[in-house]
Amino acid sequence: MNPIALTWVLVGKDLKIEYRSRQAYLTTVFFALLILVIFNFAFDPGSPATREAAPGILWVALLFPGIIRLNRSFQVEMEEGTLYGLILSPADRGVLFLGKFLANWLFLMVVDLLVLLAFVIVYNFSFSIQLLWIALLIVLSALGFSAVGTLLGAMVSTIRTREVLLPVLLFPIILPIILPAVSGTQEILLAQEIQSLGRSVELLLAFDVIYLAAGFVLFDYVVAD
Amino acid sequence: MTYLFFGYVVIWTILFFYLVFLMRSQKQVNDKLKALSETLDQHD
Amino acid sequence: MSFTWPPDLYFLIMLSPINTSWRLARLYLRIADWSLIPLYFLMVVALYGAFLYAPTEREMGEVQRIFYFHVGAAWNCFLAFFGVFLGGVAYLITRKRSWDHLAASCVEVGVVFTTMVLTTGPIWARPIWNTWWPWGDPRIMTTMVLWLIYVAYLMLRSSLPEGETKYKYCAVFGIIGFLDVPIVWFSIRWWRTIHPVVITSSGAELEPEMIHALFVSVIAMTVLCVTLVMLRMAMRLNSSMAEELTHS
Repeated sequence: MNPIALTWVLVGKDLKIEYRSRQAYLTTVFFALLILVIFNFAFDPGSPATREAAPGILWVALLFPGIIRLNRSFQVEMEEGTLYGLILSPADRGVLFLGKFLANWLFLMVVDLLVLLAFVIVYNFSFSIQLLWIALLIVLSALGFSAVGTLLGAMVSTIRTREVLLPVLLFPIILPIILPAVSGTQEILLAQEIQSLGRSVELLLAFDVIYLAAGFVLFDYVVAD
Repeated sequence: MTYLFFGYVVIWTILFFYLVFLMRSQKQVNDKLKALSETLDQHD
Repeated sequence: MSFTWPPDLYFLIMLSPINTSWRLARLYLRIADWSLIPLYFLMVVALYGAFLYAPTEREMGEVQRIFYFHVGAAWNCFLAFFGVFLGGVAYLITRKRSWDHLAASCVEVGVVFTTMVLTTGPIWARPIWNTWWPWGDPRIMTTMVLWLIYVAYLMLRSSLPEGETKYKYCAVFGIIGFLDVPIVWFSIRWWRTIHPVVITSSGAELEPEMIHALFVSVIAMTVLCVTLVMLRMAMRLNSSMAEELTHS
């Protein structure tokens, strides 16, 4: 089999597991919704201050539930010992990384776009063409997030305290993705005119490429020999 | 600033002696390990 | 145990396939031992330079004297974290335990120095900039992220069971962390340009005495950093060797 077909087999396998169990994406979406609602109550509901903080809240609601997905990605494999099966399979390590990464990315994109929908409703923003820009920011930042997250998720999968450890390791590393994503969202939702959005997208793209390359190269060392 | 200077010299001196103490104890451990591995080598 | 100067070419052991050995630990202890006495006097001279020799800054006043140690610590935390990167890369290539010892010791020392930077910074910033923590300054935020990354490294290290996997994972994380620093810096600097800048650093000119004091203080801190790393490496080697002997 050629590498591309192999990658798709791996992606299909992961997504099929998620689709059949239904547990993961429901929990993830529900957790995100919970964050949106709780933040609304933590501030004064519906006040201008809440509206000002909304872009930041959206990103908290996207990032924290993402951790659940990343933890699950390798935990499913560890539970049944299927990771060794994957390592022994003819797929090479790079393909393994790409498969896991793509599955995480697709999963996060779907969940994140649902959360965005909920966010617009709960925070009373209007549906407009500008939301497509936020969707683009989400797609790009989910890419970098799952690239680093797949690598680190594989690393912590054997540790007992992985649920806590993964965000502690991941968030400082992906800060360069969070910054442009949040400020881009702020600009789209709150600013009068759009000036530096293009720059945010460029930066996100550049960082995505770097993180993807680093993950691809270093994953070789992370899966057991 | 003289009092700050002397204050910090005192703090540094205490820290320094702690370093010396650590060094001494590690040297002793190292000597013991050396002796132990040598006796083990002779037994082989 | 008596020490001779110069230390003989035990350095070659680092390149040999021996992983843990009392010889290597002894080499590290020797280097640390020989640097101890110069270190003591260097540090006293640095304190003298900072507190008595250097003139008081005209605008900032006495609080500016913290600057000599702030800069010394900042330079050394980058030095130490570069050691983590180096140790990580070398470990992944050679798979020799001594490189992991280097990385682990450098992280510990680096985190101590970064903590020093992050505590001396606010003490200086409060009277000068009128704020403890000026968000938006790329140097401060990058240093903070640096600290978070390497504290996370220590957490990862302490939660993995002893063994090759642990050293491999730590090496990988150390490499990512180090490569991430310029990216963090770049992204924060970009982010700052679209946010209001509260503080601009004034280009203060340094008197020659200040430069002398800064120079001595940076050297003293560097020697301290190297000594601490050597000591920690010797401790790690000793303990791993003791473990090996008890299991053999």
